[in-house]
Amino acid sequence: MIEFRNVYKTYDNGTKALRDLNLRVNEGEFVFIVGSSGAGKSTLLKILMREETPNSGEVIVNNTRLSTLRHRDIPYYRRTLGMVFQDFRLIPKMSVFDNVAFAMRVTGASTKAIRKKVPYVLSHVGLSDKAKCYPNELSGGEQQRVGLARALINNPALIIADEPTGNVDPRMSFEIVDMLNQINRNNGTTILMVTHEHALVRKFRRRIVEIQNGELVADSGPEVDYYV
Amino acid sequence: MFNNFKYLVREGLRNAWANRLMTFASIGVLVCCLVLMGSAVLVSVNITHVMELFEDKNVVMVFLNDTVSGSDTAMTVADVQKQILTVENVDPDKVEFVPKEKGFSSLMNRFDEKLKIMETLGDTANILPDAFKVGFKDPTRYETTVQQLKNLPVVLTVRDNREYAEKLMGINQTVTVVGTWIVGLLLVVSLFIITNTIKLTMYVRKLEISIMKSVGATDWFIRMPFLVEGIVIGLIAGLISFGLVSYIYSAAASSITDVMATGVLPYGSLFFNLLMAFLGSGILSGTIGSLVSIRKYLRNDGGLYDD
Ligand SMILES: Nc1ncnc2c1ncn2[C@@H]1O[C@H](COP(=O)(O)OP(=O)(O)O)[C@@H](O)[C@H]1O
Ligand SMILES: [Mg+2]
Repeated sequence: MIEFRNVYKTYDNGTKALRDLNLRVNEGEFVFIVGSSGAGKSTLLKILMREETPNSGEVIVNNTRLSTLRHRDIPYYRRTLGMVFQDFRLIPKMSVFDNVAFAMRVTGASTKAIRKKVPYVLSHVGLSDKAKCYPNELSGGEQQRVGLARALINNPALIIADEPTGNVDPRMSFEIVDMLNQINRNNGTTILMVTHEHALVRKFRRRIVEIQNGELVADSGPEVDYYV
Repeated sequence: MFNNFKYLVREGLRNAWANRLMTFASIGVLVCCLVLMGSAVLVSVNITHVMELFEDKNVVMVFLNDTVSGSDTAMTVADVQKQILTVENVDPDKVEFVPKEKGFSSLMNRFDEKLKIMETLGDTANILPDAFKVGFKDPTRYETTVQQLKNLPVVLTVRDNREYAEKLMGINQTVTVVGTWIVGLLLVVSLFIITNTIKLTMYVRKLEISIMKSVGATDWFIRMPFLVEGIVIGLIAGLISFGLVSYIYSAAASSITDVMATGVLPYGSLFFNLLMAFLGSGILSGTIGSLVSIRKYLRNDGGLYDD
């Protein structure tokens, strides 16, 4: 599903964010990525989103070599991913419904399909009764569930979440990770989640990968290895 | 795809309204630009038209002394014609008498109410002399022939079309040169303003653009609302300019017709071309403005995280 081979990333200002990183994640895995601040976790995710490109090494996602993607292919690649951000990244002037519908609209979906699919996904994250609300009327936990609904709307094979519980109170944090866990268990969606919260990592007992100073320093190992 | 189109157009209109102060500023500048451009073109077109009337530079109006057909000397028209024909280069087939009554009435027709009083004064106020329209055999000897005509005792003066034509040509050139510079300058200014208007919208919508990118929007999907905004600005500016120039033209036309015998081109014949030109240049500048300003945001693949 995901493979990092000898990946190096140095930013323009000289910061070495990743050094010779090797990582393989199989389809259907749930991986926590941990490490101190500035370790290079977000850089890893940004490379997966094709927001940044490695200086050397190869990244393969779903049989796509990211280095071969052209500018005009990138939107179509991103539609196969679901992204969840720490700051939710919801559009303030749009209702919950529209925020989720937006991600579907972008793909050229018909209004009819949108009207059918959005309520379905909203019910999955427990927000059916908040569809008409605006982001500023929701709690942090609820906002992140909207973000999650948006990430799910196009049935991605991979969800990338960068500290999704960073702005959410602890009880809600558990709920959100639990949702991701359910999505992984029920749909086989591969999930990569960056987090600082050790309590969550301990509670859910999934694969853990630790990055320090741009290097992979610990890996609890693949949960399932279809290729062995 | 049609769903998307409707949605994107609506988005563009919403942006234009949400950002209306700058939208109106852009429209204003573009209108100034288009009105000046349109006026310059109209002046030029009219001068060209007048010059076409004078095109037959080989023909002059020869005005006669009032001794001619005055009561005592009583020279006949035929006598005068004979005199004119003594000038060697005059083409006998192109000599035509224009009696003062005709010249006067055709002049009167062009004046408005305030000059009607002259009519009541009758013949005594008939200030236009009799005249001959005279054509030449050899246009290259134009100047000497005019001189010879002027030397005839019956001739009061010769209206020299060449002089008019040259003056008009000079005006035309000035209008063209000055007009081109002003228009060029204004186009740059208006593009700058439109670009900045859209940049401002873009700044407000940076978060939205970054989210669009993260969920896999294509460049055209992101561009469309901005394009619509630019086109709307151009379209409105084009229509306003058209209205303004139409008004100015008809106002100017009535006063010019009073002064100049040739009058101006009827607006009806220009109407359609002018409308198309205004809408076209308005839309073109709107489109260029929006495409230029969004280019920067689409070039890189990043910006998913930050706004
Ligand atoms: N766009 C950038 N330009 C320069 N340096 C950056 C950029 N993004 C991140 N960095 C640096 O790269 C290192 C890794 O950053 P990041 O991947 O965001 O770490 P983490 O997410 O683990 O906190 C840090 O030292 C950070 O300051
Ligand atoms: Mg980070």
